[in-house]
Amino acid sequence: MEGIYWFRIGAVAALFFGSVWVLLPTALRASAEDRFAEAARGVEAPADLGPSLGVELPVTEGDPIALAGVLETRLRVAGVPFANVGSLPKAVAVRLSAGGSREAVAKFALAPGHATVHALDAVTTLDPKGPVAAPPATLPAPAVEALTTAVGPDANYWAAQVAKLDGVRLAPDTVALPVSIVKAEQTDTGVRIAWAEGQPFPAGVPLGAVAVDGVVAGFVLPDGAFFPVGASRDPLALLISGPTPGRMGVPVAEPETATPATEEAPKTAVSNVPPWLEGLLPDTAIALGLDLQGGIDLTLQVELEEAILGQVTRDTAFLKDAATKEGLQVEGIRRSHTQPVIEVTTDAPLGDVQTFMKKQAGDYTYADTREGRIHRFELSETRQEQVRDQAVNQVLEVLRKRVDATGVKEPSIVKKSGGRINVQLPGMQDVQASVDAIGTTAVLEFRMVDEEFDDAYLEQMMKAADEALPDDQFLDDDLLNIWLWENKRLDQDRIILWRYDEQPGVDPVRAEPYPLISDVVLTGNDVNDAGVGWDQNQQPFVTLEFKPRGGQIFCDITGKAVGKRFAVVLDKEVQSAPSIRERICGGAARIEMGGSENPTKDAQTLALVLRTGALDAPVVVASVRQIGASLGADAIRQGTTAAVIGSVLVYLFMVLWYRTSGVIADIALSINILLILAGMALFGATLTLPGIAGIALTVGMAVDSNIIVYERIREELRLGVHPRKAVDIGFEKALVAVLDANITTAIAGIVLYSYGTGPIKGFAVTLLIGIVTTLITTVFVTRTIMEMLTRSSAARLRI
Amino acid sequence: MFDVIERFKSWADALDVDFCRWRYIAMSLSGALVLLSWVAFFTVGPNWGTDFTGGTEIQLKFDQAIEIGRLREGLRHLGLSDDAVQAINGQDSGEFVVRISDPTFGMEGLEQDVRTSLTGLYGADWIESMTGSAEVSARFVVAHKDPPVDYQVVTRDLQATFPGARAMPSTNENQIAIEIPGLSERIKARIAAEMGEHTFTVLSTDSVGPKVGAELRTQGMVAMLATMALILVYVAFRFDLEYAPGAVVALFHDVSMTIGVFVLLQLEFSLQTVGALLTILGYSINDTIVIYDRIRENRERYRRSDTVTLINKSVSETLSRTITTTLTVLLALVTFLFWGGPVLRDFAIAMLCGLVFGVYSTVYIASPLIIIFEDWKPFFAKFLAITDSGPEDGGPGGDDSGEPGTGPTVTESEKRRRARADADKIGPGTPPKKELLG
Repeated sequence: MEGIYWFRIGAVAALFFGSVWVLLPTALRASAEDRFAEAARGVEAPADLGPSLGVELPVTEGDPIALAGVLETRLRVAGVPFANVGSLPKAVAVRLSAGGSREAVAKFALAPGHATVHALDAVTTLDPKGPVAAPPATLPAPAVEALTTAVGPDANYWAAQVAKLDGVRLAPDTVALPVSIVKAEQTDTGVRIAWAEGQPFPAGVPLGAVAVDGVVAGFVLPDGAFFPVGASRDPLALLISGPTPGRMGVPVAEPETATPATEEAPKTAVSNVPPWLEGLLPDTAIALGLDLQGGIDLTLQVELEEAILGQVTRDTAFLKDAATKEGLQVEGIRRSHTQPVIEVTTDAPLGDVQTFMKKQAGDYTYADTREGRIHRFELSETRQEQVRDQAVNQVLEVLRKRVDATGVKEPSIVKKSGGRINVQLPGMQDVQASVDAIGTTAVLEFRMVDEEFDDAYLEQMMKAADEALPDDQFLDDDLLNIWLWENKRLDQDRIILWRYDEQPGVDPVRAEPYPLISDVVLTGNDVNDAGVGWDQNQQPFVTLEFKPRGGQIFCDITGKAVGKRFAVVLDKEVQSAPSIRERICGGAARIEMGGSENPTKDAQTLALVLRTGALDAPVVVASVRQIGASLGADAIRQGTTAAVIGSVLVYLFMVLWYRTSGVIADIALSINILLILAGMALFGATLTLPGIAGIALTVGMAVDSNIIVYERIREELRLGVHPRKAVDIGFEKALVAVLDANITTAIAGIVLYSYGTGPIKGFAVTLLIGIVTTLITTVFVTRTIMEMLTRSSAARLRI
Repeated sequence: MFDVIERFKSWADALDVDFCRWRYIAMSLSGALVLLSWVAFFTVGPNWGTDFTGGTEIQLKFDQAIEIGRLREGLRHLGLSDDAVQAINGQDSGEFVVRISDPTFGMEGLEQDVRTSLTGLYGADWIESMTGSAEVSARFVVAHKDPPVDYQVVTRDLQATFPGARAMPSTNENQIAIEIPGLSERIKARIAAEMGEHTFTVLSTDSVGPKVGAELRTQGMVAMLATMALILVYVAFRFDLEYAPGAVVALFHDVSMTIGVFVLLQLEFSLQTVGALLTILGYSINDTIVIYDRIRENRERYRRSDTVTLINKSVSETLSRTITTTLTVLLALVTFLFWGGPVLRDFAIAMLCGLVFGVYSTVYIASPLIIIFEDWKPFFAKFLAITDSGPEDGGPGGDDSGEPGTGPTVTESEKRRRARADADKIGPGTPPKKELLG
């Protein structure tokens, strides 16, 4: 008896201090966020923006205000989404909105482009191996108008010439006009360029082509009116940079650690914790739900049935080939329009058809025969399930990469039932930009590897770049290539891209550089399908199937480049560089996984990458919610106010009603609330608005357990039992009811958890945690204190 | 103050009410009301929120507070009814919620525009066929002829006319899916145009596709039925067969009545409401469990009593607890009614309804139903092939031999209790009560 008593006291103490410990990081982190809010105040953030995304660039030279202006123009023109750009005493701060990334900001802050102006003669010396075989872009109306007035009747000819310039790289030997740009600015009528004094636009040239880093960005009239071509707005932003009024340093990673004084601040957000405590603190935190901190909640629907029909379509094509090879006489093999069914029309005996199908397409089961000669085979349910899974996983994979690229803090991507995927982007405000940022399909390209490239030179080049460039710039593939081109170390029709090593939980690191020929020979749109197969030695390989046009091009390329390698590039990262053994025509290729440590996994990853170009199933947005941060702040205020008032009322009620025992119940209640919060931190649960209500409701319900016990004890006391005994009996008797009541509530809580999304889920979590903590506090806290008070034989108990 | 409380407590302790006397009246009345609730639900229908109907909901805050009439007038031009606009946070906060349940609102003419764009870009007979649908964004599937155009190029070209437009490759060759997002953006722009000089900021938007809405409705229904089924099983397992149906019927009553109130007051029936209903299921059962627990215990204690007496006694005994816990939960909830903001207010209303109906249904539905199902029990037992043995078999007028059958597990306190209970039957110990009944 005595032992159990002390054990209980120990447990209460352990619970209390454990909870405080677990909650410490949350408490401290909150104040770290306040500090950022303090620091960012000068930036005049609109109230609607969450505190989560910001970049701070230390100014090493020049005037921060002027630099902020330049950067703002560049970002706006480049289409990098941002909320505002402000200047701090020795830094420029950028607050991003959805779709903006730190990388993009860094790119425009660090690397002013190298703009040249060419006479339109340059059109004739365009690089014949222009990378994009794009159809002529339409010219914007004001441009045509300007051309007609400037050039006269020949305007149409010039318009056609100019349209060809879109995204095209100038030949290396093209000579630029002797003009220099001093300023480019965005005006109401468009971008205007100002020429340097003494270097006016030469007479007799009606129109100039402006190239940034060798890529045509647009054309310019002698008076400085500038018209961009195509959708590639990035070069324009570089152009607009003009002469930079100063220099900016490497951007500081996250706003929390942005204060210049704490350069060596740890990456964790708990930056105002004394260093000795740092390593000891647990890695726990209560995250705020979207409804409290603002942000965007997207539900995407993967159209699963289309994925299955797509699979059947591909199988149908395959079977047609196979039938020819096997010599099976068929009149037609076609897909049913609405069902995952293949119809084989033939006069051959059913047995033969079944044998053929079993061998070639074992996933199909015989369904029925119509009109005596149309044999129908249905895709098996297991295979359908696989296709659905595959389609959803593919989208998930693409989404993860995309969301990572936006740099949003603590995003959540959850697979739901029925092919739905829920994406939450805390702090984001711009719905359109979010959909753009994560909804865009990844860019898959095929480029040839330059086999003649000298390895020693590559190494030497990298060494030089490493020495010349700050780390951040060196590690940014885009910036590095720009530097190499500008410094004439690399030919403009070559590009160095890397294969990256990806380990879970670690930022990917560069593994191997590939000197590539800039031209994109094929894109993801040319790929029809990819999958994994096994050869006789059970070695996995990736099957790659092109659409007819892609197959044609692939056939040409492989014919010319036997023995060379081609690189599969996804979003500028080299995924694989298989070498070409022979000319491959017929639209299907096979990539062997020689030399891979884990060939099966690598093959699956590569197949997935190859399929990203053509998603198995279209994706549509099923729902979008956007919650403004100010609304979230209001919600927090209202929710907590109500919860606090409610709790105080319950506290008062308990003291009035049960006096001393009421105080005990209140103590238990306080520990209960502490435990709920600690539990949430421990499980990484999210606090939502209904969650706050859930805590208050738990407070109301938690006293229920106490009341059941108290009423029981009162009954015992009325029967004249000694207080100590009454407490024992009361707890024993009441516990059954308390347990049953809480378990039934938990049943509803679990259903609620699996049904609800977002806020409702948060409510279910607090409810469930509350049930557990209520049981714990009733058994340990209340009982221990009651026993403490009734230990002496002379004890009296007023309930 | 303390005095009043103490007197109330001893009054509640001493209470012994014949609750069961009104059981038939109460049950018929409740039955009628439940029926009425469902009739209203299916005929009048609840005020479904955007979560369930699909559509778009935009929360606006005008920089200068304006009359709701002004906004309604503006939206009438867009073909929206007055019901679509609601003021929140008081009349002069300048905050409104605009609800548009037509998923294709703002999409008129879009298909034609897209078609015109595409023919302008790639030639008059490039399009072979085109189908459109609307979820949260407008989506068109275009089958086209040669030349093939890279989807990235189509995206780029279309964005000149339709900002944010997106083309997606399709697994079929010469077919492309085009998504023009931001119906909510279009709606925002149209409202802004209508409202002219009255500027506003958008606090939140909420767009749900109709497919999702319909599914959420079914799922909500399934979730509630599943919860009731699970509770049924649990109660049957923990107590006895005749207890379980009563508990679940009571739960059904609570949920139905709450739904009825929501239909009657035309409060928005949103995901939060379904969340509240599920919570009611979980909470309202607490009351029932406590009283069932007491009935079970009292059945052992007063073996001679019939079920009606047992129930009356048990309900009376636990009445003090019922009142106290109801009060505490009430206190916790009422504050959300006043200070919780618009989102939590409806939630609190639902919970309050559930709380009140829950207390009532425990006494007048869950408990009396035991009497009924007790009579049916032999039938159930046979049906489920359950052989019930032991002392629990004692229905009304069951054997009263007391000791045998309980076996050696009887504890000291249990023996004492029995002794007390026997004394109870004859002893004068019971305090005066009748006069308190009034």
